[in-house]
Amino acid sequence: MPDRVSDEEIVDVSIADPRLASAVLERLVSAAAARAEFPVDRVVNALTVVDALIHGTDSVLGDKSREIRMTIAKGRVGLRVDSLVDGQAEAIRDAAHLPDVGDILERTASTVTIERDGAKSALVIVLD
Amino acid sequence: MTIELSAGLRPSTASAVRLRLDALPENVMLVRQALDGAARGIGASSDVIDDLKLAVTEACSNVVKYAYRGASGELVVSFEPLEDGFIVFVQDSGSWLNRGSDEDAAGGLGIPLMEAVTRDLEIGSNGQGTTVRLEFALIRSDIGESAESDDA
Repeated sequence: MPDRVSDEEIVDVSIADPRLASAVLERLVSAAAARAEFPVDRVVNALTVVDALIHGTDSVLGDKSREIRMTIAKGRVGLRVDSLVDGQAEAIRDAAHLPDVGDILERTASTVTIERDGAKSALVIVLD
Repeated sequence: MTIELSAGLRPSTASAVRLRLDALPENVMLVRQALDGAARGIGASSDVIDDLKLAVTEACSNVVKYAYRGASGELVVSFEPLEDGFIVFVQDSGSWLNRGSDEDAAGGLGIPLMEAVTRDLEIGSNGQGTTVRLEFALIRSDIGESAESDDA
């Protein structure tokens, strides 16, 4: 995991039961967006990102645990899906592509990047 | 309620949901929100979710207020489903249980309140920290009992 930026709060979330991922992440990100003082349209974007992320992780990770680091600062919420291997980060990102709509993550998040550390990778999504 | 940290007073290595965050007042809301979602996800009733949020707020507040005595520290919350209920573990690496005369910590209303709204409550402490184990049924049993007594 990367070091903390001084003004941000970090919440590490591990979800081993994928049935609970949607309900838990929606509420956490809603609360994080409120704390970050997002306007309502950015709150909607944040929840759209969660929906896309749940769809992607369900299809790519199946029953495996989701390791997510959420960062919160004024005007910014970050979601980092960690401990990914073998192209899983790219697959989760690509699963958010809808015909006639495009890439949901790219269109709703401020930045979507993939970070690599040896065999591991992470999908990093920032809303600000 | 127990005081010593028993073998059953530890979450499994693969809890269904686990949160690790700083023990700060504003993070208690995040814990409440996450556990609300987890409990709803396994079919807990609204009454039980109200009880869950009340008890978890008490447990987390003790960590925030007393565990680290003004220093920074970590709060770890785990959620584990059972066949007919669920368990929540609230853990810290500090110490607040044996504050004795402190009315707001172990000697105050928090523990009786947690006992009143849980199916089972255990609290343990050792040199490495304090763990609160809160067990809930999916559906609050006193709802049926209350309806029966109203009918009588």
